[in-house]
Amino acid sequence: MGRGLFLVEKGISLPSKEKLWRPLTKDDMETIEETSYQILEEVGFFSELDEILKIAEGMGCDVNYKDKTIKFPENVIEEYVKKAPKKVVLAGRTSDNDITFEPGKRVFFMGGTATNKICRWDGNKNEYVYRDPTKDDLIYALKFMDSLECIDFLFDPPLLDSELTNAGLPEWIHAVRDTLVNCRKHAGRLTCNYSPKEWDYFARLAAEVVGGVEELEKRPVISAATDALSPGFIFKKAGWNMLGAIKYGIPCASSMGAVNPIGHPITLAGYLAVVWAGHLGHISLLQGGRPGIPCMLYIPAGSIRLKDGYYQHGPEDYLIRACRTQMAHELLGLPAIMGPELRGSSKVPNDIQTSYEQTLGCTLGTLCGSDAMLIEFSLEAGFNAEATVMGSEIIRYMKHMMARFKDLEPTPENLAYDAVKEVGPKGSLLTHEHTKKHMQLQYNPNFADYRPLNAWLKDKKTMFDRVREKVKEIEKYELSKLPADTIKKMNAIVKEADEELKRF
Amino acid sequence: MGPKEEIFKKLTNSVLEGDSDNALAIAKEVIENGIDPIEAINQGLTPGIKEVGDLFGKGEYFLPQVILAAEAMNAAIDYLKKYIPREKTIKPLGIVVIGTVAGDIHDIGSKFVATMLEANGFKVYHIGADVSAEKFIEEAEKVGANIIGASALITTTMTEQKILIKTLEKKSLKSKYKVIIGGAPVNERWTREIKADGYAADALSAVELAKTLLNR
Repeated sequence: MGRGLFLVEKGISLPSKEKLWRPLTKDDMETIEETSYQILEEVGFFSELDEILKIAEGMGCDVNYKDKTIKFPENVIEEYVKKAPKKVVLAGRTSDNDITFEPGKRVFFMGGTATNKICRWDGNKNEYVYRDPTKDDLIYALKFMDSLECIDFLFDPPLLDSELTNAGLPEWIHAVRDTLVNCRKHAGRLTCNYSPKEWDYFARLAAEVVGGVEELEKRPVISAATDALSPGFIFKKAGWNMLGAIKYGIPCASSMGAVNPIGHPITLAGYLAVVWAGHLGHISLLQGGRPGIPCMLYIPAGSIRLKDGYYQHGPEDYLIRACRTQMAHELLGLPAIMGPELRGSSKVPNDIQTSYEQTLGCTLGTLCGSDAMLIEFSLEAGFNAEATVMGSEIIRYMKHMMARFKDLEPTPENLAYDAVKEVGPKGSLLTHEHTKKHMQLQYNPNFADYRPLNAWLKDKKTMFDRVREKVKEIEKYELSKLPADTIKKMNAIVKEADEELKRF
Repeated sequence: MGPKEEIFKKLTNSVLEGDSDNALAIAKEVIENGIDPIEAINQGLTPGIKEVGDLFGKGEYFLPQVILAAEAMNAAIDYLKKYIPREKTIKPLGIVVIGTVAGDIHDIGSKFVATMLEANGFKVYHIGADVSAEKFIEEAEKVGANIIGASALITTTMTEQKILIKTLEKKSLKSKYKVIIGGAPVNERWTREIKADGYAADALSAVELAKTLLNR
């Protein structure tokens, strides 16, 4: 028996867009986009950095240096967004680990949460133990990132070394360095930086992997995200992210703190109009700074609970993500990556809340055709090997479902009329040639248990027990490191950075 | 209910309704009627904000209502305090400098805490987001703060709270200030590790903690 259609498939092939979840009509999108243009022209953006204002001015925008505002005429947006290439590649260490986005065709999965907590299962105590992670824990987490076939690339490092602080080179950049050294997949972005100098160190580290800074544009083993505070508020860190991506020509995602209802209305059409204005503005500015720079849309969405001020991902947040994905594909033809989809917000590892949140997130994200989704776990609970493995099983479930769209197409082979006629009304197709030919199509889970009760009672293994076996297997996985001389050069860069950026 | 009590009741309601214009109008009535502004604050405005806090704690009031209530209260207080004789000026329970740490731009939580502290009798200076350790200390020194509140919403920036403590130690100022930390990734264990003076999981407990730390 085979293991299914998705055996070595990177990402999931999607069916045609008519079969996906597309919540907006053409009229909806046009009306919303009209309001977005109005926002860009009449409300505008704010940028703390003059360099961004200069780029906007050079594009033909109306810039006020005193108020630090940018107003975008519609024709400027239209001219610049179309410069963004439709195909975006995130490079791995070698080209077989590259991720190529061709919007709406495949969905990939990314790992990494950059949490600074870890919870490890203690078999002696029979409980999870929470603690601050060390560098060894980061390397441990990278084994899962590198080995799980359902994780296609990283967008953030999986863990941060809590023994570091931001007293020199930020711990995030240290973690990306460790990812580049140990993991073959795309290493992700910088989202925590305090100065352009740190950006330069980030790029220099990545450059060692590809053979020089000039090569980064061709082999972008790192990426960027704008991370504006709210759609039109480009505070200095967001500006540095844009400028860093522009300087090195690496793919940059337009992202913003779209936390409902802070920077935008609570009603969803208004929410969409504002965030869409944000995406249009960011992408235009990136193209204004460096025409042809690869761009993506990064679509996190969540809400501040008005009841108590905490953060949640509710059903409306997934609806918004589906709409933004649809608009990214149908209005811009650009990739839309989502995060976090497979998230457990629960503070308790692997509980029911985590299960339904991860399942819903993965299902809804896949069904709307997003280009990539993030496996994540609760920041509070920390990196959890079992949740990561279970998350990969949920992805596998979705991969399988998407693969089955192929045999849903009503071809003669798939309709199998001849086989139906042959066995007749009382017959069984179980051993028919047609079944033997196609039996690999059926879903075969790695961990779910469908045995009857009597059989189960013989070992009483739970899902958790079976997942633990997989975790132990991965713990023995050998990471493939970069060559020693490359690591030595990267260590020298880190040492130089820690010295130059030392704060106390 | 006498005329004075009626005015106090209207002040309480203006806070409950989050109506800054009305709160200001009634504050003017207080002065026009020769009522002691301190009495108006203590018997009109303070009961209102206390009730708002209780309703929020029960899940009956939501964030926007709490913020509007505090704004209404402050609108009235800002007017009334002009009429309080210098020698009778209400001393705040404490002076707090609060903000979000360097590299972090999430400030809703810290602003909400600032609102609740102010509404409960503290003098609060919210110094914004992306605030370096040095800036926190500079502002605290400038205003004579007792408490520094440092919020961090993401794991990558919570180390700035540790840097704040270390910087205070380096400047021999650690014992001068009480440092309260907060934010989603923060917890008691982290608080103990970095030797902060306290951790508040939410705005209401931040108020109680601030009072406890200053023995109020």
